[in-house]
Amino acid sequence: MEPGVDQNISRRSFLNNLLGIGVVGWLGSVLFPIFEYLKVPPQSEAEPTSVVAAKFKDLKPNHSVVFKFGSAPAILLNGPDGKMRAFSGVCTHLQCTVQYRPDMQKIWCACHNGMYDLNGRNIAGPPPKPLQEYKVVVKGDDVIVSKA
Amino acid sequence: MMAPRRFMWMLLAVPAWASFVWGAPVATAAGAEAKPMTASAATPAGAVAPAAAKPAATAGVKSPDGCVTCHLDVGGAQVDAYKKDIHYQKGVGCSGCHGGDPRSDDQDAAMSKAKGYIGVPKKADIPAVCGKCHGPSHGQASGFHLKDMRTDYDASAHAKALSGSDAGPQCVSCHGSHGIAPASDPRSPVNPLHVAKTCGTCHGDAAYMRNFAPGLPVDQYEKYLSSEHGKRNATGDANPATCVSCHSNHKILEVKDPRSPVYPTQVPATCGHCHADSKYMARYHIPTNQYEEYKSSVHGEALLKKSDLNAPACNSCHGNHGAAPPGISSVAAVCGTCHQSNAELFGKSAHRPAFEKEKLPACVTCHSNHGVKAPTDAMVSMDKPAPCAKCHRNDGSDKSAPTILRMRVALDSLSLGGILAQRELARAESLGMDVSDARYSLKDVNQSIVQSRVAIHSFKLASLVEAARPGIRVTVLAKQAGLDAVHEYRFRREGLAVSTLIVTLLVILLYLKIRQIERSQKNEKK
Repeated sequence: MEPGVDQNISRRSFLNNLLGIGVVGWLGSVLFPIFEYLKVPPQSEAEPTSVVAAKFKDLKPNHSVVFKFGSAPAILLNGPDGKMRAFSGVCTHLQCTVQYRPDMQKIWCACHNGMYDLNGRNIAGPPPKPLQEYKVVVKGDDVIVSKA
Repeated sequence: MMAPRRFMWMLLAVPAWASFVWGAPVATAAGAEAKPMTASAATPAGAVAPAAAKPAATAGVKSPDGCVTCHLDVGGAQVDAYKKDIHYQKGVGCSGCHGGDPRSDDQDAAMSKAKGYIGVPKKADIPAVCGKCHGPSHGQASGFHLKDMRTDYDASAHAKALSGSDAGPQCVSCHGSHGIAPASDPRSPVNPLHVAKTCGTCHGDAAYMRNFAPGLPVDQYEKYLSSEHGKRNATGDANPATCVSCHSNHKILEVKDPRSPVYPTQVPATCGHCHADSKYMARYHIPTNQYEEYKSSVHGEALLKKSDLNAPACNSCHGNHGAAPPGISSVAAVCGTCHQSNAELFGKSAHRPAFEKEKLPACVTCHSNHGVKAPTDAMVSMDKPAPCAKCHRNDGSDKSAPTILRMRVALDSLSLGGILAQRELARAESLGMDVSDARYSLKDVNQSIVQSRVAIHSFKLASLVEAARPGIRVTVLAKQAGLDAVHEYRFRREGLAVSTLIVTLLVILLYLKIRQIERSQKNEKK
């Protein structure tokens, strides 16, 4: 075989390969937006009625966790007596997020020093109403909080 | 000459009368001591004591009254007192209350049950006895310009107390019995100058009040004496408010009763009844616009429009029985009753001593008093009428001015950042994109705004920035999340449009190419 023929073939195959890659790239650029459009976009979560708020073993007595419950924060606390309680985490005064103060053993709002007892009752400061209480069920290691 | 039988009856009757007049305790089912207004208590300090001289037997009485004739013979103190009683002067004899037939010479006939004689009325029956004339069927028509007191009393908390115990308050408890004078008469225990003391007779007695309302304070009279109302009243000025001005007189309702003039939502109007009356208040040279200002204030709107009983009424700041304007030194403490964090920060701030030096009332200087509005970030400004501009100058001579402006920048960054982030998220949501996580995070912005507005009472830029920074960070991230979501949406739509266009173009080109090939093949065959 003449060296010039090999050279021609390799050049043609090279150009064909290059063209093939170009076609694949072109197809990709055409099809990608179509696939992207057809792909289901992330949907906003429907307002849940119950949520796994924490792992039982992770929540020690006299500790709490603030978690997302639908579109609003909620607070799950394991009281000093070891009893699990859950409430809306939204302060009834100006909608700040409340937190649990282990030193006071009270639910506390940092915004205006509002205070709720372990039953969610507003006991000090400006909060006008108690916190809405949620139901707590411990199932295995999951602590499930529900609005029911 | 008096018959022995009549004389003996008189001797028996005297203690009963004395019991009625002097208010001797009567055992009750509840075991409580009776506490009617005694003769001495019924005659206020400075009032004219009943005349010791024998009264004319029938003076002022339209028909001869046998009761008076006989009871004078046995030295009836009650008859002496009754001579000055408004009822006696208006022609009401003993039988008006006690029944019987005063025209009969025969004692048995005059004081027989058949003639309606009831003797000393039982305490529980006294409202009914007085109500014969001062009741719904008689009061208005009597020509004495007296209202329907019986109906009012029956609806009152006092009537409720009486229904549970004979020791409960009734007409005699406040008005006395045989020396009753109109409220306008300085002798009357319900005269404006004496009524507080009269009410305090029972309401200052813890042991007595425990029988009816154990939780009710018993220091109202003491507080009243220390109030502006009480101090002026003590000087002989009958115009300032007394107990009945706010609680009413006969239809006294419990504070928790929404019909009561001292129920929280009613208090501003009750105070305004006098304090908004420019003619009435002219003699005291104080403003009368408080009620109007209060109604449009953030407190007034919360209480009167939203019925938020936690919102303060007049008495929340001024006190109720001890009502007085808070002094300059106590304003922060008064406001701090509810706005604790703000008052605490203010107390530690450089403004406190500065305000004290200038004799400026703490919170009121920036927020005003009765017309206090919901605070806005615009209050932190060097442009009038912002409160900062009242004292600070923006001419380069005041080192605080740049700090104030930086504080405003921090507040604006937070609130405007929040608004912009909200707008981007709303735009993304309207395009059907999910930004719920970013929206959830915006709750921290609200918290940061609230905490910044508290922190500003420290008047330290560092404290404000510390409170604002987490919120500002969230606004940036949330806004970016909104922008990303919108970008993603656009990429999907625009990309699809471009792809569709290219595919369509390709199909057209292929169609043209096929036609061209077919045409050249036909030509070749020819």
